[in-house]
Amino acid sequence: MPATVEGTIGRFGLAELPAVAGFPAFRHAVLDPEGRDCVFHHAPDRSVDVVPHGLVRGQTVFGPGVSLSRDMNENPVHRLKGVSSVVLDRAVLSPDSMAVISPEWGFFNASIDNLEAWQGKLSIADRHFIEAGPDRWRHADPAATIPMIDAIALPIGGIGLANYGHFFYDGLPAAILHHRLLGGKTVLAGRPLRHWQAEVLDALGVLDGYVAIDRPTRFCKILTSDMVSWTVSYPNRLVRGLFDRLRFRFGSRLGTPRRVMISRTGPDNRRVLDNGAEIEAIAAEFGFTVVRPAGMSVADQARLFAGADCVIGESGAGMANLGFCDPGTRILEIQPASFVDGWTRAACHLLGLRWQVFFAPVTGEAGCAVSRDFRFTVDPAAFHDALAAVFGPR
Amino acid sequence: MTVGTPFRHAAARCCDPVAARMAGCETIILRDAVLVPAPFAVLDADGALQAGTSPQPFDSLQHVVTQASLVAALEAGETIPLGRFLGPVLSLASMQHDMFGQPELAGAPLTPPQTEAMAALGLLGSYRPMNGAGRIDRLLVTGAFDRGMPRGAELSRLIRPAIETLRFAVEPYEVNARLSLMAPPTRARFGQRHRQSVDVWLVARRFTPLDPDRMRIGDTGMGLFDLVAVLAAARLVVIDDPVQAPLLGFCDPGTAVIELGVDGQPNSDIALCARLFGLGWSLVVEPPDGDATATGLYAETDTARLDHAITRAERQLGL
Repeated sequence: MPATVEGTIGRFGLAELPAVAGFPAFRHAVLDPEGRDCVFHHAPDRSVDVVPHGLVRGQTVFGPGVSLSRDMNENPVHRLKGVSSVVLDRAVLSPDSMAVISPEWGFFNASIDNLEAWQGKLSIADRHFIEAGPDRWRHADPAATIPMIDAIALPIGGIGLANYGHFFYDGLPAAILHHRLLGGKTVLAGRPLRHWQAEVLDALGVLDGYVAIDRPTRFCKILTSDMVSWTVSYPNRLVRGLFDRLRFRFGSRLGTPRRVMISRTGPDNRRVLDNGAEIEAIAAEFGFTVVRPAGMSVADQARLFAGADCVIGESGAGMANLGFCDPGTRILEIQPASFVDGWTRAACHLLGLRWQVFFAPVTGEAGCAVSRDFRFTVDPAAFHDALAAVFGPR
Repeated sequence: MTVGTPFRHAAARCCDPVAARMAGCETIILRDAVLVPAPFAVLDADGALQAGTSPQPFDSLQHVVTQASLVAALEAGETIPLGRFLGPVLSLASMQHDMFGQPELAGAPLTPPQTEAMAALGLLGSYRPMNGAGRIDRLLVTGAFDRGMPRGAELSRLIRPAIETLRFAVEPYEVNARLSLMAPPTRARFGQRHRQSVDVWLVARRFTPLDPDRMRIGDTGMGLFDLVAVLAAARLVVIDDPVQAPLLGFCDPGTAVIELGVDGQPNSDIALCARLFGLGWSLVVEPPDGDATATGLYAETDTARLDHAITRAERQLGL
């Protein structure tokens, strides 16, 4: 189906673009003004046993709860997402949703794939588009002009850009690698940066020249990848180099705590640990220092986790900081039974960390299980036993 | 003398479960230092060894005049195994380049694959090949600091950035899902009795030998990106050469690595690289045969035991 039919725009996937063989040919397609739209496949999907030390109750699995997902309880094989890049001539980047729209092909699937997990539909996430039928959209204001920037743009992420974990995993690693391999002939682009995002790009040496846009904007070409969606859920190897470069840049600091517990308490927290104070007190008995990374600079977070040997944390964006931990660090993830994401265990495998899990039952009605807003409780005695087994005394 | 205090990038750590020790890493700036390109060495203004190995006395010493205010010492050239260059050396050079204002890089003339790698990472234009020792006004040295030894690029998480960048620039190309990476006799940690028969046995077991020293896969020559693409498609690797262990980083996570080792001669580099890159790792260890101090250390690979390890890995991988 053509990209545009009676003013509506469809979507397209990787399979609809011609694949080029070899990165030099892809580079040529990117840098040559006459280069055609195409796709380059960097890596295939891999299914990997990410818990080679086994899902063994009392050794790696703790807590009275079980996950709603049978796989989370029994199957340590996790998908590690493949990576492909596309170059699209005269494409538009819409900063609200970070959607990429090719005039020839329509919306790039990967750039809107996460919509359902975020806001349900494009018009909620992006004021510039409205739904026009199944998998079709139209401009909310067809008369609005779209500014043009004469540059090859690398979108820095997907719709989840504002989230700490999604920022590191969804798209940025591929954008940075392209920027490096193409010798600075590209610009990074996206929404105006938050302070911590600017800190990360500055540390990576790519803040100068960043193009912040506040409305859909056309570029000579857009070079993006399918990493912009679902890479948090199904992480891949490319995230490692990003954290390693940041570790090198930020360095380490003497005197940081060796045992760290990440606290999620805060006014915006939707997954509430009912007995958080009690659990933090037990962790303190084992020598854990409770930290709230949300208020810290990224540099301080990196140095904090660089110095840790043992980390406890609830499933969520704060666990993205595990990327700063050194290989061999022991991790205990507190996973509410209704929160079925397996990305932390997969990320730990990729990063060389030793992962364990404590499943905590959700309190309240069973009907809330698939929601991301719920309350849960960690059994204190079981938690104490888990810390003794995983970490030992301080 | 050094300029300012060292910048500490990472502390030394022990990495379970193989108790591999990861080196810490710091950067110092030396004033009026001497860089000896090959064998690589850095001496400070007082003549104390700061990196590399003690050099032979040199006849002459050039004063290296550079455009850049800062020069970074690079361990390069034909004496450096490819795995060591692409892992610890190139990654540190790439990060130095970003962090310290794109210093000039200096070292021995590059080999063809080293040149390809430097070009891919955008570093070749900043490289100054040196044929002899030179004195440099401000020399940047980054490396391990925690062993009471001269600094050098060692194995740690910091070897990954260059590997990941080069890996990103290829599409996996399967010559054979089963590869062997065996040390040449000149670099082997131990003599292999009947080594040729082991090589023949591995080929009969459907492995293809990869030789990064000669840049050959089987009987075919290859370039750097061929090597990366072939490793990216591998699912099972038999290796006995710790120096080339960083090359395992081009393999995708989940690839099974079988190390051939000798009892009582621990070397954790292969296990550590497997850990750093999310690979499976198992060790086939043979009893030593001979006296390392007198007649040389030998071992004989028990192909039945190796076959068992391979079969197990193949079953897990569905090969």
